[in-house]
Amino acid sequence: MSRVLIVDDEKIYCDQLTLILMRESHEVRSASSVEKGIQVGLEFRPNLLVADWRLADGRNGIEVARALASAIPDLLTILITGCLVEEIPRETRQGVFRVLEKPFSLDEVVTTIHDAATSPV
Amino acid sequence: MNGHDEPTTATLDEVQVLRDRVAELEHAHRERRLIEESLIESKARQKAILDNILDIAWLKDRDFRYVAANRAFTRLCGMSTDELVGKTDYDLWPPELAEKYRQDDLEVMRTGVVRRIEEPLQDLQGRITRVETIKTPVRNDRGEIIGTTGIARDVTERVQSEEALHQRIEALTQPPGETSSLGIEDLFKLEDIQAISDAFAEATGVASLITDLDGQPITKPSNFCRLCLELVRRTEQGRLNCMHSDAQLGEMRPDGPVVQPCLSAGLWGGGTSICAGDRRIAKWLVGQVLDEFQDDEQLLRYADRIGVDVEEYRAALGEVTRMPLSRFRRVCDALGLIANQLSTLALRNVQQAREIAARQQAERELDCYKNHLEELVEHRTHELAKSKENLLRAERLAALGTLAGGIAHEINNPVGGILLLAQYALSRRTEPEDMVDALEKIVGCAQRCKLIVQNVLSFARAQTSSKAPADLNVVVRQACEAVAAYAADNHCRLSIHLDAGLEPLAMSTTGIEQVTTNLLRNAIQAGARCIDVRTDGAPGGVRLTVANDGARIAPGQIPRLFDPFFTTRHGEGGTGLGLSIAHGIAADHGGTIEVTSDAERGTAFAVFLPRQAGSMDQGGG
Repeated sequence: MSRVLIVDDEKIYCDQLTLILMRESHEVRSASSVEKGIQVGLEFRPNLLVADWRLADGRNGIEVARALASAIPDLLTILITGCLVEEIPRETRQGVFRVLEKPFSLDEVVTTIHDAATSPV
Repeated sequence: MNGHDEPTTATLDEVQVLRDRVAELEHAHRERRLIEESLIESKARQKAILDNILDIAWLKDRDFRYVAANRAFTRLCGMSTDELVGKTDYDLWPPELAEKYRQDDLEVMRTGVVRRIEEPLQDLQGRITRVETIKTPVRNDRGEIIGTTGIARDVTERVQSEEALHQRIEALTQPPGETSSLGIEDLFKLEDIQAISDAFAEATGVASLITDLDGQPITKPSNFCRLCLELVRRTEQGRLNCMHSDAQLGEMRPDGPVVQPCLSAGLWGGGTSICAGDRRIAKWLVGQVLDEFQDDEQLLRYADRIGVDVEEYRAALGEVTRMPLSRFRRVCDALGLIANQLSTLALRNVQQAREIAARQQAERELDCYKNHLEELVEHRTHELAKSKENLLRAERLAALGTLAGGIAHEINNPVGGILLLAQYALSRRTEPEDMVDALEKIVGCAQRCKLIVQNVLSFARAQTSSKAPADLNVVVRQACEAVAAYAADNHCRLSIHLDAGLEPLAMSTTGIEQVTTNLLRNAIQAGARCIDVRTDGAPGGVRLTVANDGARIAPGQIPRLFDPFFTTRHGEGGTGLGLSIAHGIAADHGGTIEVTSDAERGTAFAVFLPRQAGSMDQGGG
């Protein structure tokens, strides 16, 4: 089972994804901003990051992934976004495990997390 | 008799009636006569005025036929008014002139605009003069053009002197290499030169003539003796000798005029040059004088040489002016002085002409440059307007993109939440209490969607609200009351200061109430402990200020504050539309919202609503 860190400024996503993933027996923490995400991440040491692309104040979730990259080299990132996938730069997309467009279904998120958790890296 | 009385009475009555009728008719007739007379008189007066001016005047109907003309006109074309009426220009003038006049009439009839034209006119003797004509359309009571009137003035003299001046300037300003064409007639009026020559000859008793450099006479001979004029110069040989002599006499000498016996008849002659600067333009020759020692017999031999009858020659020789040579020399000295003065004057004329030409050239260049500049400005203005338009369109598209993207993003979040929550609730493993929790959250998400949609709608509606005169204070007070409970829940105090002297202003009350509410809610959500709400008059309108001591707005965020969906409370229920809507409503009133925010004085939003001219008229609806 994986250690999953969720970073989203939408409370409903943090809460609901936490519930869903915990029920799938993952260990889950959540944060609502880039700063909090990095702080929790360094302490919690997740192997999976689920981060929103567009966060408040013009920040984005990939910043958390970059900040944690040196401390956790094996960290896999799943980006979720309320915008179109095309809005995210190609290089950024290529550097992450997968991009999920909101709204996504429960099955989609569970499958993606499962794929990532069993990925050979 | 009684039998006759009645008819008699009746007849008398009838006579009386008839008399009355006659008197009436006479009266009416007199009145009419009076009116006709005054009409005739007024017409006669008008005609008298027209007939007594030197200008020619006429009236034509819409078919270009003459209807009336004044005396100057009928005299010019040699016709009586009766003959003239009904004729057209083609009946009066040469075809090319008639055609020109017709075109001008057509133009006046077509445009209805008065035209002032300088044009040729031909009189009975076939002489062409220049006239300045003013053609005016004639209209009936309904304003339709039914013909034209014209009045023309002879401007031949003015045109000629203008042309002469122009020619003179042209000649004087030719490049130095082409100076040969410059003559004395370009610098002086010929009559003036003639008068000087005549006066000089008259005063001194000698003959006088001004010629060009080749000896061709420019003036008419002044005081020439019969010998020279009628005998010597009439013969081929004599004339050639005279011209040859004249050419030598007019040579330039620094020490004054040449004085020598002429190479033709041997009479004394003198001459000098008239110059403009270093350029000779004419010769002035005097003479035909015999001194006290000259031998007539010797002079007579010349008659044979040129083939003139000797006796006739002798008689003419006797008429020649005689004076001592010393006196003739003094005459020539005077000639030299006057010629020098003429030369000075000529130079001055050249310089003046050059200055005029240079100024005209400068004016033309300036005009040209001015036109160029005007074109340039027009071109640039056009380009600027176009690029501004493009920029505006780009901005509008960008704003639309931001709005659409914002709406999609904002709606996607709660919709995505609903999807996750519903699927979670539906999955078999979910406990009943978790299900209830999920459903409650779904309701929350759905309400958020509803709020976003509402805000988007009011954002759209804010652009086109109807306005009626209202008191800003009333609107602001309502908004404060509506927000009071929310403020109290968040431990925030409202301090309200309303200026009682505000004038009513055309506004959308719901719009302005929404502006106020949005500003108050923002302040409360920024953690304000106290909000200062204030209204007052401002130059040209009224002002509402909402100031608070809550969280400061970062300077970098201020420019984006009014962008749709810009919010610092993402995920906490902020849609980022409140200020955007407020801004839209203020703009719809022709007003503005300004923000100031610093650590010391807190944050203040100032809404200015102008007292627009005519905005009252838009009321109602």
